[in-house]
Amino acid sequence: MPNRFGLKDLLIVALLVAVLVSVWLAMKQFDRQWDRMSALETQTQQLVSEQSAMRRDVSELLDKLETGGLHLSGGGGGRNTGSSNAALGGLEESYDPHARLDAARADPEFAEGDRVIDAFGTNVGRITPLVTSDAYGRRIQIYVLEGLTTTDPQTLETVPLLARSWTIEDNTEAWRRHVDAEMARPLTEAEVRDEPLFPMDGTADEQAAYVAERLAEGRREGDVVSDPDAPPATWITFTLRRGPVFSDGEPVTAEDVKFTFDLLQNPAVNAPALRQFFDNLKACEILDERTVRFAIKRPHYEALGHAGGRAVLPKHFYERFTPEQINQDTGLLLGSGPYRMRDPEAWRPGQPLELVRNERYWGTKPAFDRIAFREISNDVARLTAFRNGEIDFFAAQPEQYEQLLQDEELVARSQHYAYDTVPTGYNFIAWNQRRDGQPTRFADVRVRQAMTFLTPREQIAADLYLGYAKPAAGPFAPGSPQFDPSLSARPFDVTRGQTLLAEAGWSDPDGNGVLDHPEHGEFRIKLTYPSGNELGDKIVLYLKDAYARAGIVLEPDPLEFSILIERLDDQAFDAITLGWGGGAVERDLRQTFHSVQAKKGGDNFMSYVNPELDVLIDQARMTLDGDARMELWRAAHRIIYDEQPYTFLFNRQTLRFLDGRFRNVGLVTSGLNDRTEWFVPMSLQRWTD
Amino acid sequence: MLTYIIRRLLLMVPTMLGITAVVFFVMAFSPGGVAGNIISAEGDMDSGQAAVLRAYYDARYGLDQPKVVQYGRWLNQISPIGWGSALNDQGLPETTGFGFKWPDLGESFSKGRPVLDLYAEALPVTLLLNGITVPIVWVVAIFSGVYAARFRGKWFDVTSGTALLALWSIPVIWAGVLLIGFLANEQWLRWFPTGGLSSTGATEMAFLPGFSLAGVWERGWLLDRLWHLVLPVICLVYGSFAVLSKLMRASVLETISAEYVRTARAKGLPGGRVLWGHAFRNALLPLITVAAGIIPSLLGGSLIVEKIFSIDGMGKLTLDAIFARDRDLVLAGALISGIITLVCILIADLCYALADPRVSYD
Repeated sequence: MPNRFGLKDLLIVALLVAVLVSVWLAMKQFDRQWDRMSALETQTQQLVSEQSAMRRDVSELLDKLETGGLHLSGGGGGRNTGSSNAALGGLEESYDPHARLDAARADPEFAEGDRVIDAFGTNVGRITPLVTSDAYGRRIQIYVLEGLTTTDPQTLETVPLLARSWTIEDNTEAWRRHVDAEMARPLTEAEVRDEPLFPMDGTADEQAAYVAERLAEGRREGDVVSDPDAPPATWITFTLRRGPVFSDGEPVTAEDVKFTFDLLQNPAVNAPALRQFFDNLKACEILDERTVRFAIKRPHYEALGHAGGRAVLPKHFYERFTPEQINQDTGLLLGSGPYRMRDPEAWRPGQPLELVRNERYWGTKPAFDRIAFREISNDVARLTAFRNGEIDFFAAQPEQYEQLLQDEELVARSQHYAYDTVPTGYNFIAWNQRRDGQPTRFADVRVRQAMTFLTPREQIAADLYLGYAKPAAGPFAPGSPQFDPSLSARPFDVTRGQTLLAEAGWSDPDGNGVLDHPEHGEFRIKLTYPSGNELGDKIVLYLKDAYARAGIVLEPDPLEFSILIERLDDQAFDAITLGWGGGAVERDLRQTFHSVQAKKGGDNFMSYVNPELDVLIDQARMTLDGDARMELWRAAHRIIYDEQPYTFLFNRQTLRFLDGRFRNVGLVTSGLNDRTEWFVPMSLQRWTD
Repeated sequence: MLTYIIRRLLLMVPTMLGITAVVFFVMAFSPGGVAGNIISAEGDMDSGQAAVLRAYYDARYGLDQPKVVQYGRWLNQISPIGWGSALNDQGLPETTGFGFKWPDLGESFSKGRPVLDLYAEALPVTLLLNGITVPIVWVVAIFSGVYAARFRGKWFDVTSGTALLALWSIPVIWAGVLLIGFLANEQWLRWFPTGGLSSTGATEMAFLPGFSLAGVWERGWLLDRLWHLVLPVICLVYGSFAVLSKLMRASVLETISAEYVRTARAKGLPGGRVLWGHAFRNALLPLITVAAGIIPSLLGGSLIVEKIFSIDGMGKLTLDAIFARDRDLVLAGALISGIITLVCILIADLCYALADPRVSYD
């Protein structure tokens, strides 16, 4: 075949080589520009840092001038936030939110630099605030966004952050008068016809039926309270600090605060779960550039925390986007916090997730140059990555934790902590008291108490959690002021359980080893629980064994989570075991134990109704005075302890391994101290920029 | 030929209707509610969230409507002709006028984002992995298959057959964990990273390997990416050799004993020419059929490999969608893979006509 290599072929090859070489050269050139740019970036950062230090000094001076040079030293102690009607001015101004960081900086070994690398088990879907639905997105946001107030990690009190101070005006009396007067006024037909739910397009019959039904029901308290003309129950006025700026240099103003709350209340923003917490917020008004006032619909102890705790979003940045863009853009994150995204708009899932220190930060700057987050979904890979020093954290299961403590090499180059957190979650077994409209065997309080006596919690805590969990005695964190210290978890006691069951009419006349009841038949229950969790499976086996000793047959019923949720909605279960997450520092019982939630789709899915408890919960929520409220919570705790709507299982400890190079790591009341307080001495630094 | 193609393309519409209807109704009638976002990563729930979220999903995505209506709305959504839809200022969908519109794959409610964006993120990752895997598998399988046929019964045939079969029977999940445990572990050999597609800090790397200003060797973004791909690609590759290699071997064996091969030998052609030019070419036909089935599966992704190596590809996306009962995401997946499969089958049919003059569709 005449397949000779001719001149034409040579030309083509030469051309090809030329193209490849020029592509390579172009890439080389890009790389050189890249290096140059990195150098420039470092210089700019230094400049910004100096500038922000100057800004901080100036604003501190101005603040001091404004407050007449008043600066009490040593914050904390004796404050009881939200409890007083009077202005709390002076004391908050003395509080320095960065005192702990300043203390860390005073350490002779302190050095800026290095990175801290965290690992998540699943991928982060989005980091745009408000619309973030997973906990991981929020764990990133806390370093970028700041609220008007924050929670002191040691005292757990609400303390000022972006706000310098606040005042609370209690208007409960006027509010109460208004509500009582309105409630006493009979509902008119014209008002009913104006209601949003009125069937405008319906037939005359439907309309008449609706009117009749509403007239019979009468005026609703919720409607009265939500009426725009009703006086607010509380006003909270925040005065903002002068210093704080967003990471792009714009100052934080009252406009931004109002914008944040308007955006949150916008129904087009995909934040329904978050929005419900702010249902109690009537209005947010700007008094002047640095003063903002919230009007609260009804008295509520959490009003200050809700209004102040919400991260303030920069108006000039987020107003550029429509609600639809905010819903769909995954990486819109800009705030005033100690860290920032390199590009506040560009992040997409799958890209590396790294926060860099905000050199413009208005407060004391943390030590680490960066906080990086990696996604490692496989357990073995995560542990290997931790061993290799690729990541700095490892969250262990109890068994794993004990095993790793035997590994001398690992222990030598890491530090490990087992600690309780506040707020803390708990897991439980809920006994369904009503099924298909009929009371079940668990409607009898003695049966529920017996079930708790028959549950071997100490043994499970010792055998399966290896001591890293304690039997829970109620819904509150042990040691919190809500918790009544006179109560302790019921011990495992088969005899007492059997006695209670016998009192409730359960016996075994046919001698087959299973208890019988004239109404309820044999004592066979299905325990529903989320499948796919090894520890969960083991716990259920322990329970099955323990209950069998008292003549109760337990059938394990593991379900995939989406099916379990459906059962929960339909209240179609005998008993279910689940866990509630941490929530707020002060736990509100309304959602889980109040009778208004004992309906289809409510969180009181076991249909537990106790009017006395309802009154206590409602009162506690409306009591602003801290000590009086805690008294009410403790009374509620006693009722729940006595009635056992749940068998409370465990308060679990968090088990963590950290890399050994970090200093100033320690435990505080809320758990492990924040990583912004840590640092790495110069000689031990692993990552440099 | 053209009328045949048009007929086949039109036939795809009812087929796709059937596929999506089956997927939709199986999902709609299987037990389980919308679970997305309701449980936290630690397995705990936040009280009060579930009911609010469900009400919101119902209002926004019409999940409380009858199943048939939901399916009808979804069909309208993906069709290029139909009623348009826009969100009003309450964030709820409202129907607009009838007419031409862009087909819309909808929005995933568990992730709150357009389905198209989610696939646009996952697909390149899967394509990258499979784009490297498939050529390796085919080249190795073809060569080992052809030589196994050539040296039938000799040591090469026996050892390659046994080795490939042994590889095929190793579970990926075990191999993956072992690879990480030994080849990515400081205690043994730390040759490769533990997971992901890039190192921490890869964004600041230069693209090519080289020396930095300070004279330190840097591997650069490109090399870093390749380095991360080694272990996942090994996991994807090793199990796939056996089937293709055996198929190739059988096919070559058949042609190698054919008369035209003997003729070629008889006229004195060198052995290599006979093997590759005559026997191999004719043995390729069965492989075309297999390829038509393999291309759609390229998009499927491998859930196990993705999980072990923390790579966000199609496998993970699909499985999460099914667990969350995420209607639009699952249906879009069925739609996309259905269309690609049908198109590939069509192309394979057309390829027969091209490869074999006896086949004709006119």
